[in-house]
Amino acid sequence: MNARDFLKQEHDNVKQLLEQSLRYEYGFEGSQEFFEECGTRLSFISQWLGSPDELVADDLANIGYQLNELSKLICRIERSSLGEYSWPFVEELKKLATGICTEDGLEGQYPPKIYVLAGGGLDAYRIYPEMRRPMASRRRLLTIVFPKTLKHFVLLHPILGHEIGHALWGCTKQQAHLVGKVLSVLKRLGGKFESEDVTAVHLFDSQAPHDAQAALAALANLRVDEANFFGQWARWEFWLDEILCDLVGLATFGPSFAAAQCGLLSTLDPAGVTTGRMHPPVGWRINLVLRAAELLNLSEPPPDPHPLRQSFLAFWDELQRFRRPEPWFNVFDDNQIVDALDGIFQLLNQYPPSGYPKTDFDALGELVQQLANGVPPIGFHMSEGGAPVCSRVDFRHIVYAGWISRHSLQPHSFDITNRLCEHAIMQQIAIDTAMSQP
Amino acid sequence: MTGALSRGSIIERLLSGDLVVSPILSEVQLGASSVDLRMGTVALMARAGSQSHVDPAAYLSGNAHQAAQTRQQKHERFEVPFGATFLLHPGSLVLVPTLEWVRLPKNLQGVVTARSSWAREGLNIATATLINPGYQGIITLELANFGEIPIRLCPGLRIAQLALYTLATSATFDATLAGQFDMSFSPRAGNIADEDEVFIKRTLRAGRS
Amino acid sequence: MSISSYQVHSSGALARRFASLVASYMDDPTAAKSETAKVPLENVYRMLEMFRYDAFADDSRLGVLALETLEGDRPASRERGSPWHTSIAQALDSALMAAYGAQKSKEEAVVELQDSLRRLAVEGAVDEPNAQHARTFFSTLRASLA
Repeated sequence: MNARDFLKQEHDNVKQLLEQSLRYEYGFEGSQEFFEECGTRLSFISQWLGSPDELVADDLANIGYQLNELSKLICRIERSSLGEYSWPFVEELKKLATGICTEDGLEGQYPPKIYVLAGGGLDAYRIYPEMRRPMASRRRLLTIVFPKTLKHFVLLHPILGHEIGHALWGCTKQQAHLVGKVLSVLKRLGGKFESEDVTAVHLFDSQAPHDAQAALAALANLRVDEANFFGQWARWEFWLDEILCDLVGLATFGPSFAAAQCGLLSTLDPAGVTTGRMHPPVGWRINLVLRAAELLNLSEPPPDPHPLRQSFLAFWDELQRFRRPEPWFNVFDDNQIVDALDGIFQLLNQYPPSGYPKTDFDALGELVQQLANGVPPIGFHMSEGGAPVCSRVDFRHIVYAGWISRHSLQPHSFDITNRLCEHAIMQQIAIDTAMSQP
Repeated sequence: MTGALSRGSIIERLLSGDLVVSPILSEVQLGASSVDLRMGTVALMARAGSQSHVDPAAYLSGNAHQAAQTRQQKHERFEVPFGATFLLHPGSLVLVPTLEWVRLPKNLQGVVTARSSWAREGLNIATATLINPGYQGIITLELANFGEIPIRLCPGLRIAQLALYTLATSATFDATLAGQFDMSFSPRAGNIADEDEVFIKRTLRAGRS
Repeated sequence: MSISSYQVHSSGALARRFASLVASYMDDPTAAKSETAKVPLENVYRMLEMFRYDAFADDSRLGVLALETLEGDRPASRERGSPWHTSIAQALDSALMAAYGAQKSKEEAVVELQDSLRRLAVEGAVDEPNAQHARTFFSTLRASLA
């Protein structure tokens, strides 16, 4: 059997696999779009394989690669059946992501084709578009992955705000905007990310905290040092992307992103000094996000004597404990942070409601009070006249209320708080539906 | 004074905060002496193929794997987001949650029945559901189709009604007296062996399982 | 060692195939209306978009909580040789020069070419004189990627 014949057989196998995937139900939108897109890809590959021209080695290798990737994609979809993830949160996340990830295409504006699945491990949290480079595909799919163990933990799901940054990066016009208006700011002259060399100098600074120096010293065993750190070991441009994505996370999810990031990243790297090939030290990122939150006035408390004030202050005080006080952890000045956020909001504001909506303390206070009473926090109350009154509440405020309620006098367990907030997001969708009736 | 709460009393209790029914999406849900409840977004159906008969002994905690497997495989769970529908076939029983979150004070008991308009289509609450004083959470409705043709259901439909009765004296709320389903977020099957193990084990000893 | 350890995806080869197909559609526009034709048409549209905005960065990344350890898997290292888009960007430049010379800016030319692709896909026809520019562009692109 020669390569071309084998690939023809494998094409037929993948086609059968696609049909078998229809055994399951895949979210409210169903499987039609996915099925049609995969069908188009298979048709293209089939036509290529059936071409009367001789296929050179390059063609066969490419066809094999495309079939391989398609097969993996189809197998992944079986993990996207309803029930594997929190669909109320996903429904809201999709509304947020759809506008900002819309791209220009052959036939007009293309909102992202999103499909969601659950994976194992905390590091399953991910949003990734298919690559933009030439592929045997018509439309690109955007995949959102949740850790299966954290299905109901909506207070942690705002960490996906970082991943929205990667999704934006994967859209051409948006990438161009981020390069011009945000990365250029982060790489500003005189800053610690002016160049690879400058960042490396700062990283290996003799004034760095002792534990940071020890973490870097461990790399000496791999013959990695200041001179070759970004050439041989880490990718400087990836570090910048991660920093950009952290700012996008804060800009889209607000304080809940800061809380989720602090909690989750610190769990994985409590000291915050481990350097990764693709990620800068966690401590740099946490310090940046907390400072950015301050500059956005997110941590500005309600005036005394607001009923929310004590819990609010306690929430932000707790976040401050994740901050490292040593100057080594602060890699951007305030002007850079403000200008970078401006650049991000310039993009987000073109596509409401993607930017984090301003907090109304009274409304937030009512949500927190509902949680304190063990009731899912939503836009509902009975008027003095005895009529039911419904109002719109952004799901990000529901989640923020969840975080603040953790600092009430008698907070519920983290598990229960998450369940109440998840339930609220679902109920709020019902309220919004009812209110949309003419 | 004991008895059923009228609309005015229900509203009064809602305003005071000791009774919670949230959300009430429209005033039409407030009847003369009841509150309409809407279907939520989950449907739980017993898997006919997974068991030959309902056996209380299967719920005994002796074999951890078997007990867990029974729990996981007994029902098929369908997520029914807003906009999706669920078809209830004749003779079928499905557990669905209410959309509303309910919390009863210690001096009120609730009774949930089907709305008559749905009952006339063949949809019924299989048993009149009693809601204990102090209960908080979604209410699980046991919907049965007694009609001849399938019924299409969707989240948000007003399918049940909750009537509230005052107790002569407030219930003494004790965690050990709490029903199995407090702070309930989702419908789930009960444990029919709960607190009755001594009788079930006797049948096993007698070889009558 | 597994089969998948070989990196066989060649963007240049695929781009060449797509350019070749689109060039052929210029001579046989009805072929451009099929569903399968949308694959090369969309891909070329996307390449033009990236070229227009000079936004070719396209690496896949790990998730936000995937902190690598010293012993962890090596992530995508800097590509040996040129990045994936270098030859494609150069070919697009050459094709642009051949089709438009100094008559139009890159932005104007790309917008016109994308419009031609759109007309091909939807109407199965391209207006002259855009058709002539498009023919020259795509045939030069195909040749430059060979």
